[in-house]
Amino acid sequence: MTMHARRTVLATAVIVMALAAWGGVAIAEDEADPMAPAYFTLTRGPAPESIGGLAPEDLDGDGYPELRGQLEVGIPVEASDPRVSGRWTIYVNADVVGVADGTVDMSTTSHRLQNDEGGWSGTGTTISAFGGEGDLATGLTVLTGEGAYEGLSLILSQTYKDGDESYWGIILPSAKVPPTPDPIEPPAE
Amino acid sequence: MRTPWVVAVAVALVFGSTVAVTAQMNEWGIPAAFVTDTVVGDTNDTATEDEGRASWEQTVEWSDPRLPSTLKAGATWYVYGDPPDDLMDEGLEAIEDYFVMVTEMSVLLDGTEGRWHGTGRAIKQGAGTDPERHYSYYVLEGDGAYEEMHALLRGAPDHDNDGPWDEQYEGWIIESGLPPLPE
Repeated sequence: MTMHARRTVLATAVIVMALAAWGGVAIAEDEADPMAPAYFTLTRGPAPESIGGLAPEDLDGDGYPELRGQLEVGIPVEASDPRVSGRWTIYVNADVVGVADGTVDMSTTSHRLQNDEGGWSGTGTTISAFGGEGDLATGLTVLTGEGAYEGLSLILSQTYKDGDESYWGIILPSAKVPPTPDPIEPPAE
Repeated sequence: MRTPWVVAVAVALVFGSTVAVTAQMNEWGIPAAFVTDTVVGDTNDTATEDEGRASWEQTVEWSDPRLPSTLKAGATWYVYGDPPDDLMDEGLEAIEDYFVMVTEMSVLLDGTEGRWHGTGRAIKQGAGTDPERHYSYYVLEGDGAYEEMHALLRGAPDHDNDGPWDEQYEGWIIESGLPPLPE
């Protein structure tokens, strides 16, 4: 198969859109449309305040450590889209799992990102592994806009790999977030 | 019985501000296993239903046999494009980077011992495989022999996929439930 033939559905959608034949693709009508979907990247600084967390002795008991209600307050965020810049607060619940050559923790998170124009709030999950074949953490968070961002949603991907972290995402109208498809039914037995 | 490891436990969150705790661990109760895969053959997407909606099936060779090889998925997506007017007549390659796409998926891994079901979400900006512009994440819950287990997966970066589906996955099977959402 040639590279040219290896077209994504996205690219296919573009073709169809170019032909103005597909209602499933929205076309920008106004470059200044504040509701227009947008790609962004962001960088974050350290949290100026951290409340809770696990102490070494928490990892020295029976069973597995459960972190509940860790709070990272006021993390400075600079984004390519000013709507996502501001101060970020994160609540974390996590279960820490020991594996043969390191640890894995799975976390559920609640977020609030605030700036002078409005804010974003929502939830996410992450999976993080440290040790072994290398450090990897990844997760996805969906936030809903408030204030000037009312009616918008923000989908943020987060990846940490061997020392490099990456945050990027897409802002889009909440009404355009695709619905979750019906569950796939197993075949009848 | 102590396990003689000294490990850096990066607990929680959104990594950059992880709380690193160095400790000597005891044996902990929840096993976890890293998984990767290879999709065998072509993804069967002949069941495309209509605009913005599709389903597909893959045969996947997972590194962990607890994940069955038959992957079925249904998806809805939204595509938005903002190409400059003067590029509209220049062909696909001139304008494909001006698009963003969000895909929501329902996923079933169907096996004789048990099943994994859950959801996935993918976001994409433009064409290509750049992990800074193409990301997907899945949370699956087991039943049957895999009751009380979860699989958290992502689409492996840099793989060349032909559709909203991934053709390489990586992540972890965790033999427990997810922590409750913080208030």
